[in-house]
Amino acid sequence: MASTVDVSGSVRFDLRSGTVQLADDEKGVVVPAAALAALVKSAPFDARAQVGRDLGAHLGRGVVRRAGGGKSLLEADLDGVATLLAAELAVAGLGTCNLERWGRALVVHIADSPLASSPDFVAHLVEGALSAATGRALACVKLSDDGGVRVLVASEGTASRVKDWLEHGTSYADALVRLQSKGGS
Amino acid sequence: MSSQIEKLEALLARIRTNAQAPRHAHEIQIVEPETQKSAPTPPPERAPEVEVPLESRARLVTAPHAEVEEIEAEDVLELDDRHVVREDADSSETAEIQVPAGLVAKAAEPAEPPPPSSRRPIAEPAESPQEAEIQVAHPAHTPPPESGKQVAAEALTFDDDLTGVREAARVELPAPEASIQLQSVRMPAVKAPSQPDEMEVELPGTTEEATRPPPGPLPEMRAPRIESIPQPEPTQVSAEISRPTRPVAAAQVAEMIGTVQPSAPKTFGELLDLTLSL
Repeated sequence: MASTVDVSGSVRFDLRSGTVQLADDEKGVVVPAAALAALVKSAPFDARAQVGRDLGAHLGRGVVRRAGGGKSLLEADLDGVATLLAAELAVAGLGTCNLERWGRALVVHIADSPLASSPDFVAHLVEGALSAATGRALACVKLSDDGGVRVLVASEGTASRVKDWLEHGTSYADALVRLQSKGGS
Repeated sequence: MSSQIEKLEALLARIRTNAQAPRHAHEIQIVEPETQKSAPTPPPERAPEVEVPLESRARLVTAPHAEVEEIEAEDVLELDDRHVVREDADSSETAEIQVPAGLVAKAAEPAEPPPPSSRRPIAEPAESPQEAEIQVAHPAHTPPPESGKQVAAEALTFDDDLTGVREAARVELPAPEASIQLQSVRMPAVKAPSQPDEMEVELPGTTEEATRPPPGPLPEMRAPRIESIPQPEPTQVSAEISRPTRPVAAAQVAEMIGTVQPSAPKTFGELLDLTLSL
């Protein structure tokens, strides 16, 4: 994998037709972040989740394309994958990210996102990106929104369990420790 | 007897005449070797200049002695005990010798003063400057030493003081007294006098009254009794080392419960599998 990410030509502005073309020849819209945030916040949960997964899938496909395929992405190291995912988020104007490994748990930390006020939306966005990039069935749950949005990548059952712990007052650190002991059952 | 005296007088007269003879006859004269005569000789003609030998030809020649009148054997008078005149003898017993008046007058003349080069006894050094001035102003007129054979002193014996080496007098040191261990005596802490209060007045004579000894005879003072502290006999001091004798069982100090699963994925796929397995 290349040490640097070339993002040239990711967005093309056709001024004659008044369209914005993205990397996969999809049309895009340049909208203010605040308007999008307000829209997301006002949308129902299922709509927000679906919009988030769709937006994330667009990002995930760009990561795979830049990684040279799904297999290369899975064989890539964590730093490389973090760089590709951060590049796609930056091009879309949704912030940057880091990959954190807490024991066996993978945590994606999204920072500087204009949509941080809707952390569950960010979680659905990450879920859609990783699912599209890896082709795996996975679920993401928001751990915290302090200093960015931390999202746990897990199976659907584990994600629902952790969500339950957090709703009952368990800190995300304790929930991550609890996950290390045989799934925290 | 009288003839002998006459001979003696004649002999004495000759001796005196010889003594009055000019002494230069005995002086050493330097004369030329060729001219053995003492008579003056005309100066020699000046010889041509010839290298003068380095060796001087001058010789020391003594002038001829004056004729010594031989004394005949008859004129020699042998003296014996009979000619000894005893002073303590009575004048009636002494023999009167008639001596001519001239001879007696000569004998009465004062003795010839000693030459200035005669030895003088060394005066003792002055002990003070005043005494030294007195000695200079009035030098001690000591008689000249008597001529004659000086009798050598007996075997020279030097006083020990001359060498300055003396045997030191033995000083007997007092016998050391038996050592007594004294107890440490410390001066008791003296309490500093407190500052006098403003209202405190010192009465005259109070301190004297306090220090005045009590009336009556003083109690008998006794020397303090000093008791020596018995010292324990010195013993050899050495460190006592306690060493461990029993071995410490070190087997199974820590007990491991369970195993740590390796969770260091190197690829993104491995980490994804781990996180999905939770």
